[in-house]
Amino acid sequence: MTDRHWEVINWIQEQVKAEKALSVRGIKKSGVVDIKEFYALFPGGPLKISTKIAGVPKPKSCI
Amino acid sequence: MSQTKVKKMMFILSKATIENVYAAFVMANGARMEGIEAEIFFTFFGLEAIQKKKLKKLKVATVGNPAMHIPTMIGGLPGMEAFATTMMKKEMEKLDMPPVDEFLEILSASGVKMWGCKLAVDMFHLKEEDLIDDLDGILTIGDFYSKADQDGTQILFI
Repeated sequence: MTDRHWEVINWIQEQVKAEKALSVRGIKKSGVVDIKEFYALFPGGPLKISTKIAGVPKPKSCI
Repeated sequence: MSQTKVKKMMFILSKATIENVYAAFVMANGARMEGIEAEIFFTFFGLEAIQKKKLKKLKVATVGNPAMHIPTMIGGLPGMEAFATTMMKKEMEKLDMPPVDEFLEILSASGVKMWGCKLAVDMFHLKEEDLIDDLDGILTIGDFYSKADQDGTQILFI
């Protein structure tokens, strides 16, 4: 886990606190990380893995 | 890497109606989100989804589609297709589904490989500059099969 990982994890936790739905489109618009880097940081199912690390529920969205 | 038995999903998209294009895009994106590789092979009318000039103008089919619950005669009236498409796009936006151009960007950034079918590209007299910049190349069906030649690969025709 590097600082970049933590920046993304913190952003995810903020989103969940603000009750905003998480999706890959949301990652694109986040301004914290782009999709390519997101996949590179958390390979093998990035949103699934990052939400697990962040300790928040896995997103229910299909996008 | 993915723990699933399915390692790679390969989609052949042969149609340009919005519902078919989104089916391929949502499943390709969904595969990547689960750590599964994904590739899309655009052939015949599916090529409309990667033509710069056409991809923003894809429509839902209102004729010959009983699930639309519009009588065929009425579905064929001028403007019906555009009307139904606008309605559907509104509903999709509510669900935070990206429009086709943005979806293509997301797919490419997510590592989905996108290929044009050589035979169909030649048949429709398309040039490289007519197609999106994110396209990974033009393939023959033989090339496509060689990419599918590994354990845990599934091919889906849409």
